Amino acid sequence: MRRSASSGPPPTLAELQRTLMRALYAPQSARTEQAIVRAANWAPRDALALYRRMGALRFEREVAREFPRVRALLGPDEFAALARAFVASRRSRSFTLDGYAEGLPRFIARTRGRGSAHALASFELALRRAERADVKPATPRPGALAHAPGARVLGGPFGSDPKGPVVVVFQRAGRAAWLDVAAAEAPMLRSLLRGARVDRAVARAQLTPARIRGAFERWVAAGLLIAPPSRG
Amino acid sequence: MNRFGLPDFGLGLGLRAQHARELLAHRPPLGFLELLTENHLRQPRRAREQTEALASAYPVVLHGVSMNLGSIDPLDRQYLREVRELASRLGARWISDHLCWTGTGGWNSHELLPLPYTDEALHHVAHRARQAQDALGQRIALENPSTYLAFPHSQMPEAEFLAQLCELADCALLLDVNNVYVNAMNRGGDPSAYLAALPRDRVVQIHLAGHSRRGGWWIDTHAAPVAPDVWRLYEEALARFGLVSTLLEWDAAIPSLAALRGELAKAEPIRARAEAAANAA
Repeated sequence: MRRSASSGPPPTLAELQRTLMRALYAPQSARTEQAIVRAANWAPRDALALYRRMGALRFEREVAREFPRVRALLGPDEFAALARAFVASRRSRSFTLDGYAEGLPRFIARTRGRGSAHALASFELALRRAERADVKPATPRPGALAHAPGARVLGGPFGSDPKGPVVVVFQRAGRAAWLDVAAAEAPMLRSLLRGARVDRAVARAQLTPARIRGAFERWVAAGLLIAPPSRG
Repeated sequence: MNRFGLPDFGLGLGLRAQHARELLAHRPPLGFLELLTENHLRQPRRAREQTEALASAYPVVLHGVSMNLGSIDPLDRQYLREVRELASRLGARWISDHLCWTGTGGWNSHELLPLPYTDEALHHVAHRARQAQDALGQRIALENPSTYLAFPHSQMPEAEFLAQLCELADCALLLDVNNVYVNAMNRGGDPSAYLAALPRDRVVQIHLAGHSRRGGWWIDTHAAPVAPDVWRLYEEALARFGLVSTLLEWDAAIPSLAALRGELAKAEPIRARAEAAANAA
């Protein structure tokens, strides 16, 4: 049995949807919400607030899922505030949430500076990309960093202190991996990742031959390089 | 039996990433798996191979949240192309989405937003459901959503809207029993009357899930065991629609696979009673 429509001209579907979208994303502008919304036991304002909060929570959970290490670094409360601010600044145009949170490192850099949270967020983003990427091994220039078969550097080096330790993210045989690099060895790896010839990167490193050899051996063991140089 | 000849796969679970390896390693008996469409559209190679292995081990159905059938925006043809390719690659037995809209102006709220139940909305959604079915090359099933507001200019109850929509679009129904219950608690209405208003032969799948009480609301959280009242409503649904593929949804604070199967097993005696009653009739 049909119910009688309420008095007054009803909004068209298009008017209703545009009004509701405004009410959800810019609540201060939704002056007509009470005319179109009825919730049996609550004020329309409360029903819209529920949708608003459920929607924000969905995005905030996605941010937390993509950046668990940043959450661990900041703690749940500070991370929740960061995620809320990020979600408030970024709406989705995609039919999937994949990639929604990729702007978090840039957002952190803009709002909080390039400290440890930014470095860690950049690292986690690179790690996610390495997990998802269908990549082919890079072909190094002659004399430059020789990647292991299937290995490709996809991010980094990450580190908030230009003179401190760094992390490099790479893909190895289709899986994401990362490598911690000591502060003293970081300049050598930075040079290599920028494409410097191995002999020049080594010369700039100002490390003992044993230290250089040890670093290359660890990078080989991690699967980033195919072999250490024959000479320190 | 539904009019489309789609089989009753028994009891199934929604695939969640943390259970995928265990499912592949041990192949526990499950009637079917439901895959969240959007999670599988653009997977990296390794995950794609895992999904395909699961699809070869279990019957799979696709359940989406972004078809946006109720929206005034144009249908997303790229999305439909990708869903069709995914369904074909996995051999999905059917594709479902929701009676809702998720955004306008190109924005996606990723929320299942409610429609007014008006003639305008009915014909709008029916037209787009037919277009979507043409693009997908198969009939879709539409789910009754959980909604937390309504519109004063609605002209008919939701169940009547769905029944008419099925006729106009010649589509199937995915009946979410928990949503029927949650909506009745939040907005009033008789859940039994709701079931009675739906066409008997268009329900091809049933969803079961848990809800939570928050500040006077019943929220469809998918984060709790199925409530006793919802189990009773499920029994009513089987009495009306016959044995229908039944899926347990659990999306937050996800328990172990064994615990989920334990919750799902509560449906077995209900299905047995429904089968016995049908045989006796």
